[in-house]
Amino acid sequence: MGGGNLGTSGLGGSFVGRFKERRYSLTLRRFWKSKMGVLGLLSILSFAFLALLAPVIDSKPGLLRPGERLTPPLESASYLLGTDSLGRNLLGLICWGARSAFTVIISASAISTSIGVVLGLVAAYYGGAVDSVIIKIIDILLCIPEFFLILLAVSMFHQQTLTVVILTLAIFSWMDVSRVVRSAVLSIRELPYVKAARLSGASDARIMFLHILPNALSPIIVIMALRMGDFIMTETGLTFIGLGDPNVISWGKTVNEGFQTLRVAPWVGTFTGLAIFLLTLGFNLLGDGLRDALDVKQRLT
Amino acid sequence: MNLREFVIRRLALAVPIFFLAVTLIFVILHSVPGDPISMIVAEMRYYGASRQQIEALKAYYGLDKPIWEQYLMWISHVLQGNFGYSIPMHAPVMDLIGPALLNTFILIGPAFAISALLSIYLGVVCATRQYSKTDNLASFFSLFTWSMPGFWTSIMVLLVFSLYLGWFPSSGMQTPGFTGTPLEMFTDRLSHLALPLFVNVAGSLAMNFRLVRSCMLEVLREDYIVTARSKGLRERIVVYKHALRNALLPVVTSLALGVRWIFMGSTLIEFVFTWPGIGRLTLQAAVGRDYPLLMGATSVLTIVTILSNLIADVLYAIIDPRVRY
Amino acid sequence: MRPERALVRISGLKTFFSTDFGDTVRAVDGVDLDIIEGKINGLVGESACGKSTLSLSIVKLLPSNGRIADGRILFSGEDLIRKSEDDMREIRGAQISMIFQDPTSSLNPVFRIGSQIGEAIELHRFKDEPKELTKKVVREEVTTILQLLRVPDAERVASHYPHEYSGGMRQRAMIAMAMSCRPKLLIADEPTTNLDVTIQAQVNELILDMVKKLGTTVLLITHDLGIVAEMCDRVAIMYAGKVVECADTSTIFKRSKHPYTEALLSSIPRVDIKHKRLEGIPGRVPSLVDPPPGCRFHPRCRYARAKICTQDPPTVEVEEGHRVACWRYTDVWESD
Repeated sequence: MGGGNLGTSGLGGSFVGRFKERRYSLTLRRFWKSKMGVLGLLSILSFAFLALLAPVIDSKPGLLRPGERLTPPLESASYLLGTDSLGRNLLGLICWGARSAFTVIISASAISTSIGVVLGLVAAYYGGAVDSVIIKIIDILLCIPEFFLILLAVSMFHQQTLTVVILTLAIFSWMDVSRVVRSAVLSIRELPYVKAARLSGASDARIMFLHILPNALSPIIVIMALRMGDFIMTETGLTFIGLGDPNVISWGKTVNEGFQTLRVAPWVGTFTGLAIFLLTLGFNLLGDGLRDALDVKQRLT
Repeated sequence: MNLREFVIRRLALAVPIFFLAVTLIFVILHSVPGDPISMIVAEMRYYGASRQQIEALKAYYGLDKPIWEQYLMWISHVLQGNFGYSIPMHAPVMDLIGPALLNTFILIGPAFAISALLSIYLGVVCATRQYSKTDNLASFFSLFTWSMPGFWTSIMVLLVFSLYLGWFPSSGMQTPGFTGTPLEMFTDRLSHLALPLFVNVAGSLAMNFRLVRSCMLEVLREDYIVTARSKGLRERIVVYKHALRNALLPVVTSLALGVRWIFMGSTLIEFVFTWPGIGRLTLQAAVGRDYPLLMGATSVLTIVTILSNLIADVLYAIIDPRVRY
Repeated sequence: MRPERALVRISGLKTFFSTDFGDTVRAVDGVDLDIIEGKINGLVGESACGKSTLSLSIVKLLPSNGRIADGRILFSGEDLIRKSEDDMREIRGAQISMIFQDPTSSLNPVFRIGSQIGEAIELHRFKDEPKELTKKVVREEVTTILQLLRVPDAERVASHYPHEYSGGMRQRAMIAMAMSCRPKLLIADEPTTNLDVTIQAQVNELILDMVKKLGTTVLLITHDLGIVAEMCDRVAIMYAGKVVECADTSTIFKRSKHPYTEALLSSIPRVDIKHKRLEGIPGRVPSLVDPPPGCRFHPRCRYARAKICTQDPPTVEVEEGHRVACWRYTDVWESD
């Protein structure tokens, strides 16, 4: 401990540092014990794998092969899951769809979590009028059915690119994260080492991000994982009804096509939907597993 | 302390909230890059609107007036329930929204009730038998069901029960052109309702069940439960009278907050089953760039959400006397 | 000497808990205790010494991970441990009642005070009567019992909710609830610990008053020796799951024999003597999962002799009505 001021590397910092070390290994061990959580992680990783390998599995996913349309799965060696009504390889469509799915949910998640964390931190830390205003905004935004807001916003755009979808998803989903962060910070704010940091003259931003935030990480991580599951649902829902980027292969769009050819090619809708289901399940299981591992309140015993 | 005062005060609060929400919709509409109003006009032209109709549209939106005047016009339109005219569908917006909303409620209402009752019952049973086979099975299943995207479940159910087994019709609210005795007509409607109702219930059951279960578990650990048992009360009374009422508090709040999700889920289900509800109407509006209809539907649904929050708060106050001050 | 009858006779009671990690916590590890009829019997000990567990064992309201492993609890001649749950339910609230430490969390926040008090009355005293008659009678009974506890404006209080009143009032409501069916035994688990000192005195006085009027037997659990001195006729001292000494209150204060009791008494700061420093008891309370062999107190006892004290000490009656579980009062000690 050098001669620095308390707020940086002094009591508060190293205490938190040592504390975090022990906590990480404990939580990791608890996480492995939860079979569900591990299964979830496996599912997510499998799809990520498929997404990465998409160009290998099917280098030309948009290629229409009218001659081989409507092949049922397992009938032909090169089309493991069959083809759709335009002769496209279903497995390829699923892999490429996984790509866009991950792109959307990771970006949207990152953005909405950032917004949510910052606003939640600021609201809880400063309290008073700032807090009231932010809460009011959150409450009002929550009154408007989220899906419809997104519908409204996305359909406004002339060119619906992936970016548009990501941004609208993010902008209308930060509220839940904010609330969680806010309640976590409210309880951390009163702890002694935060007061010590403030007394030693650390700036507000420093306190918020270096001292308070690391200790509010657990609920943030949990809700991020669960939110990602929601994002998949929303994004596939949007593309299912036809919004979104028409040039991007998306699971929702594929399910829609499957729906329209339900009688003749039921496998298209079934398998693509199964993919959505499994990935969503993966995130939900992961979120549950994380929650069980992280939730036992921070105790030093 | 008085329940009536509480309700009145809460109602009064709902009004400014509604205005703020509606303002927000207006703001969103006008903050999207690329002037949407002229896009509207362009779309209308595309649908072959006559000159008069376009002029009427321009007047309705006050396109030539400054923005704050447009805002006032929007507010007054909302208050009058006049959301303009939908050119693609050739009808005033309110005329379309009314019946569609009703149809959605026919679907959502029973779904909500069944889901709530079932989830409370299952939640209590599993909480009182934690870690038993029943509990583990139910918890696992609920996680499963929760992760299923509504539109996919709908398609699967449609595939199996309608297309393959032929037990249920695959679309609409009733067989077109069907007439018969009232009983026959009622049965016909019921058979059309069955599948979408099932999917709706399945979707929301999972979440509610888990919530009830976790709330019950927490409440059953409270001290006043020990007190109740120490009075010699039967376990059933302890659980259903003392514990459940306290556990329902967060459940009620959560159910109210979940209204937003209910509408989303129902929207996609309506799409798959071609159920003429407000969800499907909104989807058509979104895809068809029918902005008057879209804005009208969103505003109406906002009212519904605010109302359901209000009802939830009042219910909460009825259940928990600590809140009524 | 007036014969003193034991309303409850506990012998060899063992209550264990199983933890998530697979360990067994021996919360009550072989306890003999007599609860004398018509008297206020005190049970003293530090936190986590097993006194609350003992009280819950009597009415068999242990949490799901607890179980009574051995022993007998004789209540009016019948062994409660052998009784079925249905029988126990008839006893709870009617013959044996409990009041708890925290009146705020022990009262259901969503029901009115009167209805919570009336619940026991309705259940035990009027269950076979017609409904309309019952409601009115129950209401009167509730008012009566609240008035007995000197609650002002009893009818109004009964129609309100627990959160609208202070801690002292809530505790009175709890007492009313427990006494509403005139039980033979009242188990009071630290009833005034959470209250302000002035309110403590009030509530203690009420309990004394009530007991005298109704002749109830009380088991008063506390960690406060001051309350023991004020209220109890007899007292038993508990340590790490075992009863180490029991006697009349005055005997305990004047002529205690067990080293733990001695240490407890001398750790109380006194206003009439100048202390250089406060005396604590060296060492720590033993783990109830892996207790020390033999006498639980011996690792901290200044008289301990390793050879002898590592065996379970017998209970010796050093004078009439005064029993100690300590090797020092046995022949074995002398001859060593």
